[in-house]
Amino acid sequence: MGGYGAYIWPAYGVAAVVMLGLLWNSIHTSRVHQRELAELEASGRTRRRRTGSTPAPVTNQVQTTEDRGNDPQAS
Amino acid sequence: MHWFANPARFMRIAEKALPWIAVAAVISTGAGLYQGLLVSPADYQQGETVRIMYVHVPSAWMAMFCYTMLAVASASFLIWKHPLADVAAQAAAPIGAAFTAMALVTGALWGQPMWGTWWVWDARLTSVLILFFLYLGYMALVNAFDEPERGARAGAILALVGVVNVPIIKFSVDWWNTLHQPASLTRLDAPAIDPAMLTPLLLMALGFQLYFFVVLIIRMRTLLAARRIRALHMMEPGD
Amino acid sequence: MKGFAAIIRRELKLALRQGSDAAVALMFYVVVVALFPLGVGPEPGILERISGGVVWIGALLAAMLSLDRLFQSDYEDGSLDLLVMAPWPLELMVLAKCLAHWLVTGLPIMLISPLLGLLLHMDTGAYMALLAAMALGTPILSLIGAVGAALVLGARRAGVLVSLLVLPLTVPVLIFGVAAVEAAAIGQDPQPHLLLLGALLLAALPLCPWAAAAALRQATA
Repeated sequence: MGGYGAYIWPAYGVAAVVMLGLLWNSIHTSRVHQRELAELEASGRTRRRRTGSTPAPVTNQVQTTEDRGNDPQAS
Repeated sequence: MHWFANPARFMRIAEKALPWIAVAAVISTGAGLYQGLLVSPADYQQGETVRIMYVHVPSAWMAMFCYTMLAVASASFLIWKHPLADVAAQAAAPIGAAFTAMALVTGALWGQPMWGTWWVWDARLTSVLILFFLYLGYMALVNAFDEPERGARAGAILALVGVVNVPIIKFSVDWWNTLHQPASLTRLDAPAIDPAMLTPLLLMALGFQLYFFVVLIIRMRTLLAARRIRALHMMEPGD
Repeated sequence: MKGFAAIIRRELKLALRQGSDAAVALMFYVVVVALFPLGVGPEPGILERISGGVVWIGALLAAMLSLDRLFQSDYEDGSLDLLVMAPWPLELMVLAKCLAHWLVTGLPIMLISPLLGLLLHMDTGAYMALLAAMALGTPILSLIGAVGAALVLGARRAGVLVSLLVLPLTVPVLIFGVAAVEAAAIGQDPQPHLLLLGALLLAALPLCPWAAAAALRQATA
């Protein structure tokens, strides 16, 4: 690299590290959240079925919200 | 725009498109790297160091693009109350900050062999540095509230204030630079660029752009999941 | 108009009651400027060369100090909710607060700046330009600061955060303000730089209260 390798390779290296690092961080955080979401939804459903005192309308409410999917306006 | 408004539908479509965009990003970047590092010629004046341009310039372009996207999404959120816009803005910010940091570091690595100094307060690098501060400020503000909705709204306003300021700051930094810059400094990009150098540059730029969309979708997925988790926590009795 | 004047009077009374706040900002200004010779060395040539920049940077930092309290006490005791819902335009209220902030912080900073320039061996020919630039620039700092203060209401670490947000936005004021001083110091006409500062002030006068009012509304939403 005409003797400039000491600058060129670190430049590409930094770019690679930053971009791959950001990508890995994004994927990892996404996985963590999906896992937590799956756990919450599973436990949420079982909790409601177990408590016999929960009136039916509340259960319906939960299901409608889930039907609407990830609607941020739901809350 | 309204077609994308339903988050569930958007995410389904985005998830399906994701692998394709990722593959395209890898191909474009790979081709760009091959062209840039192996095929394209060295520069008449700068020698081999011109190869740093193939990461530096696309990074700088993406840094600008991400901030524009941040501003457009924020406007969309505040004015039309688009339900996905604040998520898109918050997802884009760290990516923009990363590209800005890359532009600064690669700029320094380009500057040292060129001008013999690691940092040069030229108009462009200084403007990029200030843009970096604007990104950091946005991210700090959005995360400074206990209530995420409040952070989203405040961040949106800040993004719009920033985008109005960016041209003013750029102008003032150019002004400042002409007052102080010694005449001997050369500009980083020559006005006429050889087509052999243009191809890898554009390939890298395209690759970076596609990479942006990949990471954006992943981060939006996370933010939507986080929102849903919060909603579920609030619904459960005794939580 | 009567409402506007009433708000200004109220803000001034509040600010003067906490008179120590303005005094603290001024003392901070003096301390910051005094640090530079201690850090850089007392050589008059060097100090004179950096005097314009140092006087302006100190002013910027000192102006930031009281910003987070601009709306804070109203936010905390609920009077901000009343002000947002009041019949007169929120933008005017913001403008009134900016004016009061400037009278209590910006104006003293402006008046003391030539004295601090003296400490740094600033060329005496630059004093008029310094005062003029400060007269145009310090109100801009109050205006931009108000936007930042409105945005961080209820945030954690609001004090530091507002400085982090506002300082990059004040770079044009810094650049043109220093340029005016340095032009005058070498005998050139500072007018182009002063005109640019004036343009910034004219732009900030309607835009900043508007942005700050939007931020206040979403803070009390």
